[in-house]
Amino acid sequence: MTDGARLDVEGLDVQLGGASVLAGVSLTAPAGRTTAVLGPSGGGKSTLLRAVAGLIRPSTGRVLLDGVDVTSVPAHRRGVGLAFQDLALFPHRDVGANIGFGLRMQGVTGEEIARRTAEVLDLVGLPGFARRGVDTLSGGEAQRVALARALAPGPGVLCLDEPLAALDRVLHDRLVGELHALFATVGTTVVLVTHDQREALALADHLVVLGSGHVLQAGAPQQVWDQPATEEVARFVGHEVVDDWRGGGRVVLRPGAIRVTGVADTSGVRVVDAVFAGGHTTLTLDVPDIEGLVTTEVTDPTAPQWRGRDVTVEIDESRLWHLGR
Amino acid sequence: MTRRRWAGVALVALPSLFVGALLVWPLAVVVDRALRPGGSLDLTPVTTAASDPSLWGVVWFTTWQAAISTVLTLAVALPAAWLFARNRFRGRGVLWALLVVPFVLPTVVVAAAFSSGPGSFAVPRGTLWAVLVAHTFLNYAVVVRIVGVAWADLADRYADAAAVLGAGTWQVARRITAPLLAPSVLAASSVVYLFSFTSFGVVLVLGGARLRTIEVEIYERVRQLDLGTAAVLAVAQMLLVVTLLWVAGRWAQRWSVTLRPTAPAPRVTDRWGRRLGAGLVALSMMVILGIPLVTLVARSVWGPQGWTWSYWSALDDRRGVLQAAPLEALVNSLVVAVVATAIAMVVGGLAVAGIMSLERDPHGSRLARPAAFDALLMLPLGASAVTVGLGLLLAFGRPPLDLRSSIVLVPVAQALVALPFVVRVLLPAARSIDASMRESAAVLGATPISVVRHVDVPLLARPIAVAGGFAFAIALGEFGATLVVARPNLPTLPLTVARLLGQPGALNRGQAMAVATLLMVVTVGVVLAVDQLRGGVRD
Repeated sequence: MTDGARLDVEGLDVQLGGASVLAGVSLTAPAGRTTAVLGPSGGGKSTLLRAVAGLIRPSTGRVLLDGVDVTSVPAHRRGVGLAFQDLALFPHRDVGANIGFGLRMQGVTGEEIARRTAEVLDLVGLPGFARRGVDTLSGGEAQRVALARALAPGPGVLCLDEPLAALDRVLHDRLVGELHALFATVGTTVVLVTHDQREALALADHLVVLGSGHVLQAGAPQQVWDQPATEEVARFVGHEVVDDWRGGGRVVLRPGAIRVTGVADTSGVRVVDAVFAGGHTTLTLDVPDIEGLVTTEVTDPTAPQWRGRDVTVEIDESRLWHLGR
Repeated sequence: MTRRRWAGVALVALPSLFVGALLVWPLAVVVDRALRPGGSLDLTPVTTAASDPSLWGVVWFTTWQAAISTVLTLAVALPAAWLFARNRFRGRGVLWALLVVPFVLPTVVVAAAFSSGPGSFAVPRGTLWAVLVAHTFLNYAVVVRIVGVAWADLADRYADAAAVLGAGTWQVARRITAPLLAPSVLAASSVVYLFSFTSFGVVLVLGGARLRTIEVEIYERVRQLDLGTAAVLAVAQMLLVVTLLWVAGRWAQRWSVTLRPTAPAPRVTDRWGRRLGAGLVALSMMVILGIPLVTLVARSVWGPQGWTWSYWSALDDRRGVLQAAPLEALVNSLVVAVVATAIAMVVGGLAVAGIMSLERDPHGSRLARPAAFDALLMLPLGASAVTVGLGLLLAFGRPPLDLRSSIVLVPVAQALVALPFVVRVLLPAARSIDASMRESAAVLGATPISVVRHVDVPLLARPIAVAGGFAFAIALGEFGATLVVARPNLPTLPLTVARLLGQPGALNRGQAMAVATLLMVVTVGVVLAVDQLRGGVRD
């Protein structure tokens, strides 16, 4: 539908109210691909998107679209789409007028607006919603309308600020699947900001981890997952980190690192807690030589009753990732 | 009926009785007097009034001066609303609190400040100008507060969303900000129009012989003992007000939008152009808010021969034109206002408790609808102050119950005028108490009465104080109804000010300024103290 633009952010510094929110952030979002920016709340993710969209001016640094410096181009002439975290659907306009707003600003005629609006509504799975009032929408519908509104003018770069944060788990998982398919259809460059590592890993072609205003690591999702650069990154993507692994420094436990092989009452590996989680049971273990407690998953049907017992474990060295001291 | 429903009905019974006997019945008597002057249907007073061109002139003047007052108020107040909604600056909280001053200042005090004589700035442009400026001043805060709060709630998110979609500054203003602000501007405008339409004290004092609103004309007819024409005019005015409210309600419905309020985050004023604009608006606010204060105080100590204390030192003096010394009037005012406040608080408090009890009833019937009762309590706002006074006079000024020579009608009239404000402060506060809080108390073993004692009352302590403060300020400054029902030898402060302003001579004028200053200090002191209590300054 659209040709995505390549986005480059170079050395971006942003100060808000005297505090530094972004410090020297550089990243590239490849054209036509989905880039996920992952980080904790308050890490400057929304600020990054606002700077990319032109809503705030960075104190230093540049924003480039297809190599063209747009840092001083105001938001309304920049051609970057942004779907806000709180949606900000215009309450005085119906769904159709919300979606058509950007096209209208481009001077597109009424008929064409109606046609394109219907098209985008189909795309997000809300056919026939054009005349609905925005206050009649459910949470998931409102989210899709916000997405459709940002998509409609055909932006070269589409920014999504925590698009699924407000949804319940079932709806969330369904929309992740839908978004994945949608991004492939649309062909625009997507920059998606989220604090949810599952969402980031599921949707991203390219992953950027942002923490306290800095880029901590960037790369393919698989690479970031397998070889986290720092303890912070390892925790963001969902790994457990052991402070001191048998005197060898900090180690990331990737899934499968500790495998429980059976129950044996004298092994010295104590099950501190056992929590049944449906498909598996999560065991919290106290392993000698390892500082702190570690967790692992087992599928044994009797595992929920293992609390207080000892188990034998096998360590798969290939699933450990050494961070050094 | 459930026990709770019985409790609700019992709670609304007393307020209903109060409003019914002291407002609805008197208004019915006014209508009766207009349409059945001799005990049977007789339209002579109506046709006589309708064929009097001077009365049509009064109606026409009332209509257009209210329109111009509204436009002037919007022009002056909208920049101030922008200032509060979009800018963060030092002194913002103080300025916001001071905004309550013009709204609660008694109309006669404002009229005194803008009246002719030495030191007045409004007069060279004529009495009409003085009336319009006084209306603008009185209603300034209504627009700033209503529109300012709505504008702050818009935050930046809709404007940002529009900008990202390609809307420039002008497009954002036209397509986003203006339509989203329209409902609050409309709401504020209709309040201003209504207040200016039924304006009494300002026009009576400043309008001279020529300019009269319907409200002033009703009073003049009462004074001339032409009660028939007064009643016809009162009925006509009530019909016009109801029509206005209905039209405004229809528009409000059509324009309404549901805003999801966010935490208002005014921008730090950073750019120079914006700083300059904000500074100018803040300066204009200080001038506007300071006008009555400065002119009144100055004119109370400035005579034809220069500085003088004589106006103040004569406050305990009962001279020819006055039947009571101003200090006696002060005592009258305070006593009457305390009684009126007590009545308004008891009646309003019971009414709110009743409405809450009926609203919480899951099996509400159509017989005791809380909304209808709420509307009944708002009636004094629609029926003007002079009409309320006229009704009391007609209903209780003849055998078997002649209360004209008794003083009880004065606090009753003032309580009626204050009642809608008490309800409007208490009801939203009571509604905002989370039902789950009461339910937790109940689950923890609290009886319904302990729930009221330990949950509702502590949470409502501040709103109750605020409502009481407002009721007291309104009663203290009440002019229209008091003027109609008060006995000449027991005047209140506002009546004394008006009486002095109506007399020629520098001494009378100077003394009027001194009394008005006194009244202003007491009113503003009470209300600012209460506003501090509220602590609700959006800063």
